[in-house]
Amino acid sequence: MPLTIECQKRPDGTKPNALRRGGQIPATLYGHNGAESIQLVVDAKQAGFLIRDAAVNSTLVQVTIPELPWKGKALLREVQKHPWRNSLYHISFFSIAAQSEVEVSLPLNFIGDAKGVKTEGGTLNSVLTELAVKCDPERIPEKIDVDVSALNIGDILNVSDLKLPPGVAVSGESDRVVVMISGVSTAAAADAADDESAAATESAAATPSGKGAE
Amino acid sequence: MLSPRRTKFRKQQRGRMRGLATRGSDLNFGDFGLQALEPSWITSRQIEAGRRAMTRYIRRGGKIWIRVFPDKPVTARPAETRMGSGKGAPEFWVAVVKPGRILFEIAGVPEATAREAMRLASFKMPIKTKFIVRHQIEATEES
Repeated sequence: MPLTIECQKRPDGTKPNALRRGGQIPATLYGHNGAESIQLVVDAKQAGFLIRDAAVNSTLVQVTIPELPWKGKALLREVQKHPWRNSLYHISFFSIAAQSEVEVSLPLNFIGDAKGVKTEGGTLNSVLTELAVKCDPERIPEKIDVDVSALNIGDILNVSDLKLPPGVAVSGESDRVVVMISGVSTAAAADAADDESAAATESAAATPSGKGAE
Repeated sequence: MLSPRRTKFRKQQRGRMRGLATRGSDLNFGDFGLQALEPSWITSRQIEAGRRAMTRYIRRGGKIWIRVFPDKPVTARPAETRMGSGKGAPEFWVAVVKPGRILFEIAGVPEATAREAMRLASFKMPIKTKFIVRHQIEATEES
């Protein structure tokens, strides 16, 4: 089911902080008519529900503005929010109607347990968690599946090795590393051993011994 | 313990910690993170204690990132010293942390393990913290 949101046109001269205090979030829509942009306001509660269900830069949203004849799908391009409260500051919508191709960032979905992790005790290092791709705005895939089950320790999977859905092309360099399987490094092993010996020393020191403790 | 290799000046003024973190407030490396909810100086000892608590708990596997670096020297005057005769000697290093800053990130472990590791690390911090999860992982778990 497509996500929908209803917006109102923002009157000139309104102050963003005053809108936020009144339970509304300032928003903007662009890309629908050349370089023109429209300033909007969204109900904060509705915007909260939208952000909960949609992913930034990959989910299409049906935007309705009663005051305007325009109606169409838009990409949730940017969400500005408080760093740790979930309160929203601003939302940007990018209309896709006039675009033949859009650049979106899709999440990478790692499938399977890597052989190197399962049997040899290595660690899966996912360098990229999302990938910027160009695709038809009407057919944006939900995610890109990455099968890691055949990877052994020392194996590296590059962007060029990914099997992308039809009509999707990688944006940017294709020699970037997506995931690699690293063995237990000597430094990490030494660190763990150091920690364990420190723990043993601490527990020995904490244990009362001799007459003084009695 | 973390400390800068070399610095341009040995001593710094204390400064103020106003506002929220504008950088380093998103998960960039791992799947789970520990986010600061209060402003504070975090010493290199506290960072190291947090890191150790996490490493001990997860034992092997997984990867930890420390997202703060103690680059501010703090000076102290020797005990029972009369006033005057200049600023004290650098004693330890701190990272200036504002609310919203990610302190640690972790990847390659299940959520329950990461949550417990971060809980143990949070006891070593002088501030309130929050466990956070990457948006995509939240979405995958819900679906």
